[in-house]
Amino acid sequence: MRYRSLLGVAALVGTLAASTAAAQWPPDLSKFPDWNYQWYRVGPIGQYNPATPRNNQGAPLTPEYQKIFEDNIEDVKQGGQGTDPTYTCLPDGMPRLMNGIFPMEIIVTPKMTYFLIEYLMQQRRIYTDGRTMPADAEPSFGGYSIGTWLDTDGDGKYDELRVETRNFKGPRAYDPSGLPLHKDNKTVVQERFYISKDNPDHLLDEITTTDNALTRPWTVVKTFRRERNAIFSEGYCAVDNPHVKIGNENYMLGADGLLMPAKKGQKPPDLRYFK
Amino acid sequence: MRSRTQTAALLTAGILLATSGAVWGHHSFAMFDQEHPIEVVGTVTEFRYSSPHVYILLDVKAQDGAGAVWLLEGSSPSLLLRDGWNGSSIKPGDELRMTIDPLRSGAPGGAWQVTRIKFKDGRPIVAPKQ
Repeated sequence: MRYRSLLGVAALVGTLAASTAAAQWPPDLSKFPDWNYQWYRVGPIGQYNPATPRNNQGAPLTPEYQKIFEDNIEDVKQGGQGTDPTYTCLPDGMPRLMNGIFPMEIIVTPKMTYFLIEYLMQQRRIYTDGRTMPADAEPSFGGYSIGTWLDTDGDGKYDELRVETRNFKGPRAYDPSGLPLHKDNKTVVQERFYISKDNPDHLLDEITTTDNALTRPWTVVKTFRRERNAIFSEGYCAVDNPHVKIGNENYMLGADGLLMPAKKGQKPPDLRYFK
Repeated sequence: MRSRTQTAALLTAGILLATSGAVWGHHSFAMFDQEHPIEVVGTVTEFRYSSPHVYILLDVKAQDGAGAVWLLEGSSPSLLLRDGWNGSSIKPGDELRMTIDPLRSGAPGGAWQVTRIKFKDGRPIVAPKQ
């Protein structure tokens, strides 16, 4: 038993030594853009397409999903949550993660770029180590992101990050309007990150979503402002969320912890198991 | 309860509609009636400076003395922090005057924004940034 443990330790030490030899620390970032800052959303809060009215954001929905969206709006008018799944603290998933409700911090390293998204303490990992999309990864709300750095102006430094994200699970919506993505979760999200030519402190994220709820790919551009005096705060969703889902209905917990109706005339949940 | 409170409330819908865009991120605020805001005055029993939203629990008395503690949903610590708020900005026992968007269901709950909440004597909760 002890011999096997020693063998295991030796193997681990060997692996660590090999990876240490292969990795360079500190990494050489001389070719990468200086994006390692906190970034603030520019535009309305929580809205996927910032350039349009909230309930008409220009998504080219199929007739089936347009009907789902319109039914969702009717439910919301009554105080429901429609097809927006995140009120129970489900993760945003992509592409909603890039709505930038609160600031996000970007950390660029040669092999990976991280997005630390303050809103509900979410994160993205974008692999830039040359790998291909794995065939056996578990689907996730944020998907699997592979990025490629480009030097578009030929000055010897990268200035654009292109990202493709696949392999999702759901349910997901673009924002609290309930604008839905297809239930088959075969969404493909392609992004171009680059600095605005008009403002060196504005990072643009051009997001093109291909999804079976859409009749064609849909492109939206989001803008983030560089923050040089960052404030960080903690915001886990489950700490104090009184919005609950029972069956297909949303309710609220009141000041006394008891269930309250969220909609006018809403019936209480089925209590058949309470005897 | 709701009808009594509303009777006592100052209806300011016309003025407030222009500024009543709720914080919109974690969920739709449609359960709160943003077209018919009401004013409530009461005593804080608890200030929950928590995620994903900040809550004020306000003991609101109606004209006949009957009351209820309302659960009033505000913005988030992340956004309030940047407006100068913290977990001590409001304390139990503070008397507040708030214009809220009440729950459509009539239950004692609603939503508030920093621009529509003051101490009962008119002082701002947090002095506006210069």
